[in-house]
Amino acid sequence: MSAFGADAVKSSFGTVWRELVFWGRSDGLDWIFVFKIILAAFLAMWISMQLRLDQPRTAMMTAVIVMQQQTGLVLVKSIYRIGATIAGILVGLLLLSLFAQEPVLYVLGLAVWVGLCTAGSAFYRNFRSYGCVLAGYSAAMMGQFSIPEPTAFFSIASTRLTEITLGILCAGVVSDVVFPRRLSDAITSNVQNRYREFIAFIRASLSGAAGRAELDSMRLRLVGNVLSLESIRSNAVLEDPEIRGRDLRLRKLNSEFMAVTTTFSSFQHLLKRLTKNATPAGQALTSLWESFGETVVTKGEIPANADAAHQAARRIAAFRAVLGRRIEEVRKNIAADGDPQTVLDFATAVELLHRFLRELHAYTRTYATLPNAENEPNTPDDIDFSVRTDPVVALLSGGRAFVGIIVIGWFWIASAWPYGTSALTFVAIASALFASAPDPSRNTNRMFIGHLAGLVAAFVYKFLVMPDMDGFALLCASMLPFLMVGLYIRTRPGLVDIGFGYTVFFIQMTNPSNTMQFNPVDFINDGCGVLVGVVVAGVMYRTMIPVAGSWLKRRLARQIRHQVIMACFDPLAGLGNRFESSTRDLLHKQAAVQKIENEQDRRLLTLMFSVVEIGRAVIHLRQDAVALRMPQPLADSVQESLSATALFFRRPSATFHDAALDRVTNAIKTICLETESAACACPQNVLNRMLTSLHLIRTALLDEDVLVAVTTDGPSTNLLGVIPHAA
Amino acid sequence: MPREFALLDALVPTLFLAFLVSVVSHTLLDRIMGRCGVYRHVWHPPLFRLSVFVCIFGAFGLLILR
Repeated sequence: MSAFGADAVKSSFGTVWRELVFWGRSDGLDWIFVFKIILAAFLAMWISMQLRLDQPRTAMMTAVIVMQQQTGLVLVKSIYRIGATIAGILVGLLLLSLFAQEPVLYVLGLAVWVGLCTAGSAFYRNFRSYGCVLAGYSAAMMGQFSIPEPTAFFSIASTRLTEITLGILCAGVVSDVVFPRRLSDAITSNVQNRYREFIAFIRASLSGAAGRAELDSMRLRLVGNVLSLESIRSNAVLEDPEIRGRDLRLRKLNSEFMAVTTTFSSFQHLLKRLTKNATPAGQALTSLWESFGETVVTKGEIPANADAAHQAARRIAAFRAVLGRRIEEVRKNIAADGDPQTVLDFATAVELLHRFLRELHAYTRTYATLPNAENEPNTPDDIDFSVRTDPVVALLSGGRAFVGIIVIGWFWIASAWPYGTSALTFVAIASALFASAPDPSRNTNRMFIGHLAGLVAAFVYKFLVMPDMDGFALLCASMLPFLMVGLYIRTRPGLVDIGFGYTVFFIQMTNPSNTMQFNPVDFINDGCGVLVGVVVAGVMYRTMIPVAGSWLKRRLARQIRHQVIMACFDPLAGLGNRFESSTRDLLHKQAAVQKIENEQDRRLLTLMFSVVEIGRAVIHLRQDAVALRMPQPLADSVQESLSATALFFRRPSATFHDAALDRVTNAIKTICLETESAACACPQNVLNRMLTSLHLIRTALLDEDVLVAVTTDGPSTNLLGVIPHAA
Repeated sequence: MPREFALLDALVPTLFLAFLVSVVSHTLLDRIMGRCGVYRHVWHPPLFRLSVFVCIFGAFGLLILR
């Protein structure tokens, strides 16, 4: 009896323990993060009170803003943040010393500086972008505090700098020492997730159960994954000497992954087209593909560690050996049918399948060797991730910030509004902070909600709770619940801006310091000034050439089409990876704002996916053509097909489409003739590869969806002339 | 040692200089220890790093303010 009772207690204890561990792995991590931020903020507050700095809130706010889930991000952010703050404060000093008596010139100078910084933050990525934000807003903040007493600006500047640096150091130390979460863990989980998602994507497209929208969103997730690994990797290099050793392999992993996904989607498109027409080649390929699915995807579990990945790589290698034999059997049947189109389709699909397996094998091998610390002896030459940013878009964001500041500044000067400086500072913060966000107007909305909530909470706290609190311990204890709410909201995906706005504004308005000032009228006026600033920034984002508007979308479409032109004409060295990464970068930025239901957005998405495929085929074609010494007519026809394709993507219209199609078909014919002629000196397999690439380009050019996508966003729209032809 | 010195007519605490020097020397020491694999034998490397830094900075500070 007693044994039974003990067992029951033990098992229920076990259940509770399991639940606790599960909670600790999911929600618990968020709470740890919340308490880490609070600890850093209180530490910063305590030290600045001990040092008698006049605004402990600046240090606290800095600690809250800088803190990130992963450790390395804090260190990197800190370096940029200190540098940017120094730059911003120097500019603020310069502006004040030049124009302390001239408000108009001061506002103009500030607007130019913040506009430049905002443009920079939209142009750069990651922490460079963040540095630009700070350089802009610390200059504005300098103004906010120094304009009332211009003679004290030097001491104010040095105190602000001290406070900001203190906040950064506190955040860095706390996040590094208390329950640190390393970036290398984030990398591991990213890479594992990606393998799982990719296999799930293959499965979903294999079974045909998933709809188009679902597949599209899975693809976009894979793209997002590539970019997030790139961003973590570039930060981790600064964090951890161990990662530096693996850096090359991580870059290789990303580049191989991009290659394998492109090949897969080309193959999948071809397969879909073949099965739709119910050709014998289609059936044969489907059965081959299913056998691949059984051996590699379905049976094998997702390799979580190096050993399992090695096994998966071996399985793929074994399947490649089997595949060769099976293809030969099928090829005989297909060749017996004799339709040249079918034979060509089949050859292309087989080539793609081989390439896909080769790339998947290479990728899995790299994945398996990832935990090894030492670098490989044979380093690939050019696998840098290249990004593509539209300078016009960046300048536009700068222009928005400029106009926002001018508007507020004009109102401030014209009405002699005493709280104009608060509005000025926050219009600078809001326009710079969200300049590189995909949908800034949504972010400013959320920030406004957060600020409003923070204002109310700060009012309640400051005038009802705080006067009763005596001593530092009680101050912290009473602030704790208010901060916990906001910071927990900040960890929720989708509510980040609200939580962020709430916390920062709560601290800003509570303004804990050694000598407290309680002035409700001033408090409300100041708060309203800030809210006006945020609203003006939001209005700017909505009215001045909105990011989600059609002009920018058309511009993006043109940029995507230009990727193909880049694939056609740029120098070949490292082009493959450069093309893949920059196209994905464009895609990712677009994906963040796009809605799959929207017709224009969907067309853009189709355009991007097909541009990746066509560009890749073009690059393969060019690589093979360079490696081969071809007879003159052949080389000419290949070159012509390339320039005709490029021309079509530069100026999409029915005429150029026909011309491109014509040239590509012509090149295919020339290669076929060359293959059949006995006098051919070129290696057969290279010619076959070129044939595959040309065939892929032709298939993509013929695709109706692609055609609509390319032509409708172009400068000259001639839909009616094109679609019947394509059908 | 004076507590403050004038940098372009702005008074800067000497401790700040000591801080910068200790950051540099800590970075160097960190590299060396990382190369030698010291951190593999340490329970909590970041805490260890911080403590080493505090030791270095404390030593410099005491030397200056003695």
